[in-house]
Amino acid sequence: MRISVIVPTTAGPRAIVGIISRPRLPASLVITADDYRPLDDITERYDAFAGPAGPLRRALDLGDGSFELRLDAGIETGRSWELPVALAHAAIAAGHEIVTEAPELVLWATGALDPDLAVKPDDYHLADKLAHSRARLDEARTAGARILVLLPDTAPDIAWLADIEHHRVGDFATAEALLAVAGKAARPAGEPAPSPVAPSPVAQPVRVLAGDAPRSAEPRMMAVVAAAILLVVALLGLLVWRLLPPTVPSVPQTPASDVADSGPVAGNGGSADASPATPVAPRPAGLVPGLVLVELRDISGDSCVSYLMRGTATIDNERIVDDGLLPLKAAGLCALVWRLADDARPLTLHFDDDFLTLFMASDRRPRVSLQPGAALVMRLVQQRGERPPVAIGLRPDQGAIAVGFAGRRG
Amino acid sequence: MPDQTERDMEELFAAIRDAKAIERRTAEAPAVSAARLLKYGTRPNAVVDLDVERLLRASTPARLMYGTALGRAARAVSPMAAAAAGERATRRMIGEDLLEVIEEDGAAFLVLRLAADEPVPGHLEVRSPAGEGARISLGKPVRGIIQLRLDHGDAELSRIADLVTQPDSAIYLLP
Repeated sequence: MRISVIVPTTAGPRAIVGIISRPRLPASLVITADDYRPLDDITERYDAFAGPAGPLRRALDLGDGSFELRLDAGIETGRSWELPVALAHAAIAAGHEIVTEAPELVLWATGALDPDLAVKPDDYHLADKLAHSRARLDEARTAGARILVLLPDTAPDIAWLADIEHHRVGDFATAEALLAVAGKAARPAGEPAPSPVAPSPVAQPVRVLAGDAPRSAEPRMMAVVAAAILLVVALLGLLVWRLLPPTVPSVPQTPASDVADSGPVAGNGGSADASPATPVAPRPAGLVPGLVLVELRDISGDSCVSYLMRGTATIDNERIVDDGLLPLKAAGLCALVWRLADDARPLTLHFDDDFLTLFMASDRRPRVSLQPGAALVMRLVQQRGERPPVAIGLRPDQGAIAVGFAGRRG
Repeated sequence: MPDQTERDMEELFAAIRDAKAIERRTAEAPAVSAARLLKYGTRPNAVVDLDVERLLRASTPARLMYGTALGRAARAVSPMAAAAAGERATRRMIGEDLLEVIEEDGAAFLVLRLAADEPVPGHLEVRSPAGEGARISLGKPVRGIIQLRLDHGDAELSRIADLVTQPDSAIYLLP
């Protein structure tokens, strides 16, 4: 994908022209197109940042050698360029192309990074930088580019960003995962995914935060075994689900005009988390045409602290509901999002009591009507030490879709 | 026995006399005073005086005087590099500092590895035996290394890269 990375400064936005591997140079450098000399202060910091002992090289598989970071204009001082530059490295490692013209995605990010790649709390002159960048962002959006704005955790609310996708991020791993999701979402239909140099957006934050060495074959083998076990259990669950009588209550058909909810529905975490979800091409046939289920996992690993406190999460395992059984990955799960396509017919979801003990919407009603284009976020509320569910079962039931667990109990 | 300073001064005065003679005799050479020539060699920047540059290409005595002035002002000098005939000098010592020209995709990088942190040179001047040359500002060193990107797409920078790798070019590290 063609990504434009904006490095905002108080003197105006700068664009990354490119990052070129310079394997024979003894040090990395930052340079502009109109000067043969590197930018003094920035170069020193960039060399330390992306150098052999730098935090960026530890986080990304950058290989050996130095880099030439090319900007369209100079940066005099400061370190807020570190987050966008780190993300540009990550984008290249993931197979994307850094461009300044006709981008498919425009990434705007600011923040200095500490040695653990956490964003240092600071004001960053955000209002000033955003004001300088607004025209460029508007222009890109008018041209059809997707805009992704990543602000530091401490950023205040900025009114005109309301209709622009923006997130608050506390560390590079979170920002990288959001970039990966945006990169996937903006990829034109039919375009194959790039051969990833970096790990998947879900695995990456865990690896970075854990400070692991480059991945060995062992975790991959464990993942394959875990997936096989999950598949077997899910198939058993499907068998049990099909053989047992329905456990979800029968629901009388409700006319669309009688539904209680209309329009987008957001649970804990806010609809902002659901909005950047990857659009899935609707399929005409299936159990529930146009219905998509998304799993939200905590960006920082296996707790939901980041999701609950900041509303940031990794969008994972997004699937069209075209079967009566949806295997569920319990590890790190924080919430589910049910989303109905714009061109789908309204439908009613009826959750059984067992389901509602584990996943809670903004209210506890068992029946929720979804309108086209709407999303329902259901937060994971408790585990109770029980065996986690391995699959969600759905079945049509008198005009509604009955939703319960399959494969958890028994 | 005259000491080194006296010898240098004698050379300098001789060069000035030659330059004044040039001023009188060389009709096609620009009218450049000896003082202007010396001032040009010891200037604290890389501003170009086209009259002086023309004189340096036209007059051997002027080049001698200019070279003497440069040598006195320089932190380190490399009069020429050891290289076989026809070969490019991509590495040479300038005093205790190592200068390399590293070819990368689309550009030549001039890499200067400093032996000591201080004093840091501010400029590099290269001058061929024919008087052709250029002075460029050096950036701030990072880990004792100064790197300059001499883009092949830029005629002037490409010319400098070419001059620096000529074995018979003199290279001066200046304040």
